Amino acid sequence: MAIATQGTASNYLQRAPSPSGLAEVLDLILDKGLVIDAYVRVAVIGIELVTIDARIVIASVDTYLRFAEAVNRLDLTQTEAAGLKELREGGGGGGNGGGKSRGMIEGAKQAFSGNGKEKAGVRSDEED
Amino acid sequence: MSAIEEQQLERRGRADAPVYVYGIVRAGAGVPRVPGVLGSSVAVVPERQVAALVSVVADERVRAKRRDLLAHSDVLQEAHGGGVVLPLRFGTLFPSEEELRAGFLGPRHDELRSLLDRFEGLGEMRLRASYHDEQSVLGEIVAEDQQVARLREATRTGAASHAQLVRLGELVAARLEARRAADGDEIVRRLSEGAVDVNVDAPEGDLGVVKASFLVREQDRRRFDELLEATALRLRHLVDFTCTGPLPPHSFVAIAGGR
Repeated sequence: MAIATQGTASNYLQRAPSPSGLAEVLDLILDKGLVIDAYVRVAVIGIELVTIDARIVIASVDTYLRFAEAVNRLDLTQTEAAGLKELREGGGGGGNGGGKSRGMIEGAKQAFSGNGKEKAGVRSDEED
Repeated sequence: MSAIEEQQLERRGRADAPVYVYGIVRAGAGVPRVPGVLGSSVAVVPERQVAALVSVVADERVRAKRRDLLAHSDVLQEAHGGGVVLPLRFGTLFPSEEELRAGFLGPRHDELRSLLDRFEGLGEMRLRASYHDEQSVLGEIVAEDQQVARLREATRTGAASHAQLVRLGELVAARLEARRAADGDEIVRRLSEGAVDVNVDAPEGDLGVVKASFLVREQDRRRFDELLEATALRLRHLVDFTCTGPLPPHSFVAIAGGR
């Protein structure tokens, strides 16, 4: 199952031995590390505030409407096709035999999503 | 030569010059050969079995800039490459070398030494995971949730009421949060199997799934990498992973009386 991504970058897993940018460095050295309270702390200036943006609390009607619009805009035929293509390309653990078997792919997809819940919405979309 | 540099040269080596501290290493550890903050070089202040990595600076009113933050990280990273290091948070300045010894290294010697022992051979692996994009994760939600799918069908006809749209959006928002929590928990659970400790931070941005640090033994690094690959592969249709390390144990060090 372990694909040869050791030490190399793949499109879904990037690895680096050390932090590469200011945001990543700030994240580690401003909030973490030993703190000795009694001593002077250097003022940090000249840095554009890289706001480590806390996720916006999803609680407003506007946000809900945006989500509603976003799901209604989805082209699920395409989404699912892309998902299945991913699975055929090796995600299903041995499912690399061309992916002709619908049953096998469904099974793999269920394994991926952790449950086998309804796909009725998707099917009816495909029939549109 | 700038005024500050002249001042630095003049004061360097003087017992009353302030010292900037990067971290704590074992006495006798190599000195990182990378530039320190404010363009200074890095030196060690030993105290029995421990030592502080420091730079002598011109005065206490240091104004740190972007390159100084990067230098702090570089010095610690370089030190970590050569052995165990306890990283200090950015910006700790002692009034003098004497004060560093008498006020910190001396009284805290045994505690620092046992911390060095504890973190020997351990590195921090910093992980961020986020959804590729909104479409793919929302697509999964619609595909997996009949209630969402039904409401979506009902509101796509054009005759949807405002209330129906709000209801759909509310449901999607709740499912997205649940999905994010479940994916984040799964990632942390799987990778924890290769780590001795884990520290989970709040994820970043709308698409963030999880941000966490794993404390990994040198001899377990390969296993951790395999777990990371298997986990990333399993979720690759939805999630991008970035893993940095091994780093000094920024997220795991703490001393009594510190924060």
